[in-house]
Amino acid sequence: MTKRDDLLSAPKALTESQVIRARQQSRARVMAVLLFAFVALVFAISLVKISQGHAP
Amino acid sequence: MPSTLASPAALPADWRDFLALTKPRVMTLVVFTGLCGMLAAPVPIHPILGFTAILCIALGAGAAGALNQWYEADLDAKMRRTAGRPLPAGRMDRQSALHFGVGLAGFSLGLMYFAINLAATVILAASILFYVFIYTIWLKRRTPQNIVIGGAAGAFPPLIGWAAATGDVALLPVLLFALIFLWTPPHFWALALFVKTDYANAGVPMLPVVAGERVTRTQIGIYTLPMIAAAMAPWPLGLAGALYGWSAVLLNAVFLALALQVATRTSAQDDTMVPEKRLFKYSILYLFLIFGALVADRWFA
Repeated sequence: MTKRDDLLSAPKALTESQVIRARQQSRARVMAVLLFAFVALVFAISLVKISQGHAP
Repeated sequence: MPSTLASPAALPADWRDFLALTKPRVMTLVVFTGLCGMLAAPVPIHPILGFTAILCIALGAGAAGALNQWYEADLDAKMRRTAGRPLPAGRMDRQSALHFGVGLAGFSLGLMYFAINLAATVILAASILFYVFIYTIWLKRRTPQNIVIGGAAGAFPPLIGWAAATGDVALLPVLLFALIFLWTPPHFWALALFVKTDYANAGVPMLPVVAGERVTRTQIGIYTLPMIAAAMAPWPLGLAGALYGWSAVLLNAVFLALALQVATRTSAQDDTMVPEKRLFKYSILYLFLIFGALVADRWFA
């Protein structure tokens, strides 16, 4: 059983709003990591393109 | 105030369910063949651009997988193998899956064009559209030839990898495309033979369901021959050396032996289908090894 199954199968311990909040927070954390990685990737791509002479 | 939780679909989907929509296990094969196509190209690519191209291939494949699951949620619910996926299990609403799939497809294409080149972007777009519209929406529910024609969708990655490095397409990546295209029928029909009941229950016209086991077994044998020809062709054509050639001879000999075993047998009552499962598992290993052999040949021979 996964952690999120535990979360869902414990209605007595958690209210619906708490589960929603926990899901939103975990999604926001993943999104933040992905966005940061994307910015770093675009920066790196730009450096490579400039070094290869693709700059305007 | 404590309350009973709403149904899982009413809750925001967990990020792991979005990841599951992308079919990560299928993606490994796609990424590997794309990477091999890129590494086999005669032109070196900057590691950051190479990583970006592979990332785009993975994201494009993930988008196609998500859109496939969005469209096939009803079928997936009827099959034991797929009933636990996020949509049929009710852990996500369909609208989220659709938005995720379309968004991811657009993102992968935009990034590929920005970072790599137009040729790779066009082929990636073709592969996503082919998988979603030609295979998923048009062929899958209509014809037992679904995976024969639909196999083209999974055959694009080496072409994309090669195009990412060189900006165009040549004979070798076309042969790699043909290899995966011709590998798909024996691979999937071996699977279909031992999950036939699942497909029949879901109403998917897979060959064993529509034409029967005998025809399917014969077709596995028949498709294996041109697959071997496509796998061997780079050696006599001078596109690969002896390292690849002898590896291909060995790998194809084993594939042929397993395929012939499946093609010539008849399953008994309560058959455990061991030869079919063996062929299915080996076919995955085969593709990894033959692409690995090609890259090893190009780099080290």
